[in-house]
Amino acid sequence: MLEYATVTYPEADPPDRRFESIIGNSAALESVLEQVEQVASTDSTVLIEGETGTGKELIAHAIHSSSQRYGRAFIKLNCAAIPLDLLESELFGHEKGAFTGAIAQKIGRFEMADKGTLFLDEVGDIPPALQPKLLRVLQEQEFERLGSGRTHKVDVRLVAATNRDLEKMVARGQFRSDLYYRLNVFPILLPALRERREDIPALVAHFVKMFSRRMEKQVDGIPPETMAAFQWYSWPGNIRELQNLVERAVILSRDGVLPNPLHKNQTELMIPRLHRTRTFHSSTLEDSDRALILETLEQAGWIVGGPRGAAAKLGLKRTTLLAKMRRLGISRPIPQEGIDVVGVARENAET
Amino acid sequence: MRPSNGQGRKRILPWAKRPQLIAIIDEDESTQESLRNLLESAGFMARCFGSAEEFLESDLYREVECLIAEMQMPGISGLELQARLKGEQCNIPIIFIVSNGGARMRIQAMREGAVEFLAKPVDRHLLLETVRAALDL
Repeated sequence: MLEYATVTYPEADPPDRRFESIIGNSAALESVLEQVEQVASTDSTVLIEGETGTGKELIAHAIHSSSQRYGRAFIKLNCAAIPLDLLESELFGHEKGAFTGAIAQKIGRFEMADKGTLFLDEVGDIPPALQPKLLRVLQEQEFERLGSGRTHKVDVRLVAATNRDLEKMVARGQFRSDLYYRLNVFPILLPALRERREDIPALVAHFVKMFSRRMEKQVDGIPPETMAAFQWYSWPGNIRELQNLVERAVILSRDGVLPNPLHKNQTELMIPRLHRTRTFHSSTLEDSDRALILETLEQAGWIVGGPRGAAAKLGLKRTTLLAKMRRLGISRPIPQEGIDVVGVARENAET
Repeated sequence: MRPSNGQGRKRILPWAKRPQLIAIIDEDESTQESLRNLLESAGFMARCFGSAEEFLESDLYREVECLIAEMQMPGISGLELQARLKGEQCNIPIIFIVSNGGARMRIQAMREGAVEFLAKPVDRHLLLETVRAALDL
């Protein structure tokens, strides 16, 4: 009997980061994109660091798309999502019979990414035993499939990402220093969402548009109090958390108006009343300044100057308050393209 | 226009998908044809245009669900076309065919909306996969 060799490919990851656009124009984002542009045309390894949900994969894809490899494969692997004992085979592939359960030959991600870009997310989760192998393929651009002596040559550009402190892991002996230096050729640090608050209105508008289209639900207005709540919140889960909350808000929306989806406790935690002295969650001086200014602005109906303006209430000069607002990334929720912010002052809405 | 179309569509059950319309903009007629054949053989509807101007004048852009266009076109460029569509509140995913250079242009396009880039000559398998990803949005 003839036996046919079967080759299995790793299941294609959902193409979720394709066709995503980069939203915002904060200084923090501009600086990231400048670095993307600088490094894209080289073949150097890039290490993207940032908290969870800051868009590491989107930036990795942007590096690929603006490099000369743009027409080639962009392959990704989340090292934390694969059981440790399968990770090696996912990366390098295996021959039939290489281990129990290896019923067919399998192509690894490095081979799939040949001539293109490989994005290794959560690279800090690669176990110590596998780290020398990764180092070798990065240095020599060659590897063997499991259960095979044949060396494969590849031409792969690696973009790695992590939300862990690799330097600390190196100090603790959990991550090889030589691999760390090899990965850390060009580090890009992604800002947390709370460090680019001025991008929040544009991000909210973008996600509202996306979800209202997907759910076929019309959303015409984002009330200022909803937008203000979004701008105050500390977003520990960053853009992903924002996206999920906008999705929830669109589900809950009625009559085309987007409600504030943040839980009441969350809102109370992040909007300290003027008379409240208790410090709130993740409080820094900057956070409390921001909260105080935002609340005063809200009370003053976003009027800055004049006797009834927020500046007077805070005992600041108008220009000082404006400068503070700029520094803290506070701006009046403005109507976004296609979506009007409901133009009702808070006082009116409450009466 | 086909007058019965609008009403006919509503009667189609939601899970019985109608073919999705894809527009192709390329100056080269043979490229247009081969892309059209490829897309139609995969079950899509495709319409070809020689330039961005021609596409915008056709008014068909309101019905198109995905656009395949050259990035560097004579007349209205890919980026300009993207900006105009955005101005018209028409946020369709765009697949740009790029022949050379222009990293900055590609970053710019990524900031303006949903895009992907394919290199010339276009890999047929990759193109279909990208079109499916675009329609899946």
